[in-house]
Amino acid sequence: MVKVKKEEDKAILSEFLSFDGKDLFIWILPLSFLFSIWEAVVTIGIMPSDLCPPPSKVFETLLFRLGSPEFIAAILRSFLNISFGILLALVAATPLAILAGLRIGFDSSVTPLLMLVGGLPDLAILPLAILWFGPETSAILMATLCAFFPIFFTVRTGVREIAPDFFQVLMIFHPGKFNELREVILPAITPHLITGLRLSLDFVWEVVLAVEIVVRVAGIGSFINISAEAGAIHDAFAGIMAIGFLSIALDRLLFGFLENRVRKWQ
Amino acid sequence: MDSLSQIEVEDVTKVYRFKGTEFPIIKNVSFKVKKRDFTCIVGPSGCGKSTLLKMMAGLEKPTYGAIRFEGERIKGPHPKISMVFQSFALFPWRTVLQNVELGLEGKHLSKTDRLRIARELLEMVGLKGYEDSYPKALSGGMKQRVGIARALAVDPEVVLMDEAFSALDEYTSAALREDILDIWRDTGKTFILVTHNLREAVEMAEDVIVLSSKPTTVRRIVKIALKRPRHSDDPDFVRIHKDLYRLLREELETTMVRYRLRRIKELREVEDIEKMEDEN
Ligand SMILES: Nc1ncnc2c1ncn2[C@@H]1O[C@H](COP(=O)(O)OP(=O)(O)OP(=O)(O)O)[C@@H](O)[C@H]1O
Ligand SMILES: [Mg+2]
Repeated sequence: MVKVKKEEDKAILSEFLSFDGKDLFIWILPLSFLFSIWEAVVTIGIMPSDLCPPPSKVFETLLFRLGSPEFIAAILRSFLNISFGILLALVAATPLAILAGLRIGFDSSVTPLLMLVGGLPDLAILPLAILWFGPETSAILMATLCAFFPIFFTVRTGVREIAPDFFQVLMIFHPGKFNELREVILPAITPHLITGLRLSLDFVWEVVLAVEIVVRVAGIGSFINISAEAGAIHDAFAGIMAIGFLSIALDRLLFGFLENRVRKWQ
Repeated sequence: MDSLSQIEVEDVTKVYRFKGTEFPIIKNVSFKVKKRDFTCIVGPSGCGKSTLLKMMAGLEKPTYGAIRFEGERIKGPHPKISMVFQSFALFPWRTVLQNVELGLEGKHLSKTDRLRIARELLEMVGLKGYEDSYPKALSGGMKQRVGIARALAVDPEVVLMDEAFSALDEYTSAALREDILDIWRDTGKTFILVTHNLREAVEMAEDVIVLSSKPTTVRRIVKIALKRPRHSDDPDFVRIHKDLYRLLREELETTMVRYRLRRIKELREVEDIEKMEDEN
């Protein structure tokens, strides 16, 4: 059984890495169209190339920078801030969300409070966070804060939507408190969790970049900021493009993978 | 305790509380089911048949009264009592085969035995070849059959079935009913089937418990002493079916007439008030 599962996983993974025919087209066509227009606009001189370098120059810079340890370190740094932030949020939000979804009493005492905190603009807390935890830890904690709410609210919805009959089926056929979690709650919330993680990834990128730029914590955000200030516009663009590619890769690898697993039954 | 009866429903009342008010769903229901009996429960739609069955399964508690299984009060689900759900309630993340295996996973069985049992039952309900499909790919009738296979896989002594044949087309349900009757005859399991199909009740049951609604009580228990196999064109079959039909129709009509009378009375009162206001 375990073996079969592994093979399934492999099949899904390879299906996804070998973007076949149609997929390739959908991705490449509009992208290259956009780049051609951009290239043309700069070459003709509508945009001055010292304010906006042509994409060919940006790619060149990106390739060059990928060979430099500082650039790689900056990307890695941001990536780790994001990953740790999301991971912490996942660990904190999921159990709370499951409880809130199952127990109305818990939900009505905790959720309004969370809504209040979640309603604040995340960056409002930043100065205090820096004061208390220092800039480095703040980047991670701000990421956690941002990732918490999408995960909490999507998972809570997921738990609420579970048909009561499912728990009754379990009581008859496979009783046990732990089974409720393993056999019903976790599989049922997986699609919601994917949505929550995806949303939180968007939010977290923004806040982590903001922290890096504002507080000058090492990372791809501060790389972009420093390059722009120094007039190395092509470097700034290369940084932005690196973020773009990283986001796509994360989305496809992480969520595409999970989504394909869920799509089998959903 | 009556040594012959396996399940005893004793003066059971079920009340739902909503916004501080109590709504009795089932009131003072009593009946007994003998071991190896085939009992059908029929009654108007929404009268509490599923609730009654879930109380027998130990999934819900009677507000008053008690339900006993082999002399012991049922306090929660019992390993010897299994159930087919009206809503199917298959886990969408499990394949058809894995759904049927669910009840076997907590038992001390080898993986091969588990698979063998699950496959056999799927074959019996006519779903060979669908083992690895997910429920989303099945029709309502097919899902119902998976639910039946799941309930039988645990080899229970009592099978509670909530409208187990209702989602099936006529041909499939007839075939499956015969299979269930074979299992009943061969294994000596006790079956309790909730249905709204009176012909089905006459075909399958030894006893038919007719419920009346508002509030729900036992209106009558009808013994069906026809020889098996039963044929729906047999004059005795037709007569019993007609009697049952009349019984249930009276029930429906009284509730409907009562309802209409109440509405008419309410409307009259409103008119009277308006008239009085006009005169003043
Ligand atoms: N949890 C609940 N809270 C309040 N009322 C409920 C609850 N569950 C069921 N009821 C009510 O109890 C009554 C009986 O429901 P039940 O599902 O047992 O009826 P039924 O005879 O099985 O109906 P059907 O013929 O549609 O299957 C219904 O009027 C329903 O609204
Ligand atoms: Mg029902």
